[in-house]
Amino acid sequence: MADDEESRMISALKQGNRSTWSAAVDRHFAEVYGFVFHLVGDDRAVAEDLNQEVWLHAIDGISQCDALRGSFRNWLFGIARRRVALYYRRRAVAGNPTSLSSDPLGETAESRDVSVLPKDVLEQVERAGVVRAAVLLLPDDRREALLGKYVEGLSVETIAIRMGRTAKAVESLLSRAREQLRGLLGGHVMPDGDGRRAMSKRGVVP
Amino acid sequence: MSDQLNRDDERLARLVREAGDPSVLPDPQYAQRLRTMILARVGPSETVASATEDIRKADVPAAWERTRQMKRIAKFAVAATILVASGILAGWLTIGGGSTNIAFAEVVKALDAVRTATYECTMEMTNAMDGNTHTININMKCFFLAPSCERNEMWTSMGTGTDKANSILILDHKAMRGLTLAPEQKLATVVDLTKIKRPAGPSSPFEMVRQLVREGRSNLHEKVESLGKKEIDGRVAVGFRTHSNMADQIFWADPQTARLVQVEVDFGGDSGHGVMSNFRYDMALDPSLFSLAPPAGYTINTIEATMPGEDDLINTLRLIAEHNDGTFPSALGMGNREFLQATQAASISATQEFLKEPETAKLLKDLQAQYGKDKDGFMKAWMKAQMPFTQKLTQKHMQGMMFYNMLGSQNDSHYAGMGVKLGTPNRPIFWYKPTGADNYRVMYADLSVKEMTPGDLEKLPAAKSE
Repeated sequence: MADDEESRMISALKQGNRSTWSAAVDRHFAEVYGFVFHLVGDDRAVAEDLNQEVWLHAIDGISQCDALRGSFRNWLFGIARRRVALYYRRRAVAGNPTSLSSDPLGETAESRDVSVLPKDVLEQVERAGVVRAAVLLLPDDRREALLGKYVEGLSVETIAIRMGRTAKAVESLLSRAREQLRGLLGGHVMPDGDGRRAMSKRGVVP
Repeated sequence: MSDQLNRDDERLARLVREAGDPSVLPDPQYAQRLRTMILARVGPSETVASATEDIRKADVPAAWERTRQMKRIAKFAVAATILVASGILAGWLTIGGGSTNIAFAEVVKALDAVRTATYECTMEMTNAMDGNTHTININMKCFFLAPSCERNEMWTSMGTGTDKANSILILDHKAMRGLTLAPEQKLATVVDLTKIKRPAGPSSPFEMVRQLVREGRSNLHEKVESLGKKEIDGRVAVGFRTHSNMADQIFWADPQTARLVQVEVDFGGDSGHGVMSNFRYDMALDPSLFSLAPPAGYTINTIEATMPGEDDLINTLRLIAEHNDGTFPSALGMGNREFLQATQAASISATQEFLKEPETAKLLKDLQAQYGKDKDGFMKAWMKAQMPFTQKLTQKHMQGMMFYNMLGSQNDSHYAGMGVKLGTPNRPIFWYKPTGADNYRVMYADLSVKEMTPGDLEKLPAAKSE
């Protein structure tokens, strides 16, 4: 069941409502840019080009965004993920033209993959970049809890006070964040089976 | 199982810790450009009411501060408009938009063609901004590479001001393409002139003067007046005066080589004049000076020039009359006072509307946050960001006069609208004969247009008085 507010927002985006698009840009611009930036080896010029492609594809393809299938944010990150994958595949094809197949850019296969990037391109990205991109895919509250805990080294109680939640709620957020992150990182980054296990569960897609 | 989970958590924690905070901010100028592009692609802006509401919500300067900033920004936009207009004007001068080049249709084959040349140009334009007359000084260093490439490096300043805006204009007359560069702002504008009909005749002043000197006579289709001889810098030169809708030009050339020594340009009335001098020929010039490829690191805009038409002149005349107490201007021309005042008023009005756009308000907010008390930095960044808007606006305002400027002697154009009120019935204010046509097009004070035979035109009272 789609959230009513999300449905209304997607509907407004489909109608070309500038205020709604403006709000969407404000809300997601930096995180989409950051996601792309980390996945292209911190290359600003490439990240800027890909980020632009993401947004222009989003505008042109907004009619395909279905509130019943997920949030606008997930859909937008799906585009970002495909654009980054396409970037690496194009690069690979350019460097090795003999590898051309009927689907040289692999666009048909990647929709079945749930990790940060499809496996065939994930290997080309530095691990830290993949982790940073995966963390950016987490919902805000899960990301805040996770970074508070592991990057800032805060206690659950401190995070709870800062977020205005109970300690129990923060524990729950952390648990869900870890679970989602395992799924996103997949077997390449989490080689001991974490990816397999996480991918078998529901809710790993951002 | 529990141990495995703990190991997983520890590994994950280590990965996240090592990766660090993933937050990364895009370059603010890039972000703003893309934001504007995204919203432009979404569709037209909403009502002024919603735009105003967005400004109200935006937490940028207090009302008085915002007003002060807006005035300053609007004024700066006018300055930017002038800079852009100067570039366009210079482009049209060199590309032959002035009908001086157009009319010399029967070009003799070029003899001992100039391969390269450099010269200097100083221009002084007067501009009635805010009801006051300002002088705009343009100094140019010009480079020519046969057969058709020019590069003009311009420094523009207003009045006695020491702040000079530097811009570079590169043109390929034959390819009908150009490039303007604003080095300070790192802004490149690719100018596509391919939709403009390339004027017949010589493609550079050098070819034209060579023809004049060698033939020693006036072209039948052009008003060319011989000025005799004159000594310039110890050398004897022969002079010719030509006339076009854009400007009168005097060419002084070496009678032996047919090479230019000096060119004087007069835009008519008090609107401005210029001198080209210090011509030097056939030196080695780096072809890269004439490259039409924008330099690396520049923000690129594109202007696609469209062929000016009769409707553009009608729109310009209406604009002038609406800003001039309902009265048509005293004359037509880029330097006409009423034209400049009307286009500047319209520019300010359009800029103020532009400033009400939510994305513009957001841009200002971001720039203010970025530059803080660095007002110069702020204004430069703002000028760069709004340049595409300014260029489009300037292009729109100049189309009408460009149409007028492109009419040559064969078009037999006449303006008779001085002091005439917009809407006056049965009052012709302008007529011309389209190229290749038998009849004239007559524009009336209500801005309607009728076709008329040359015989009927003679019967018009306004035509008789011309």
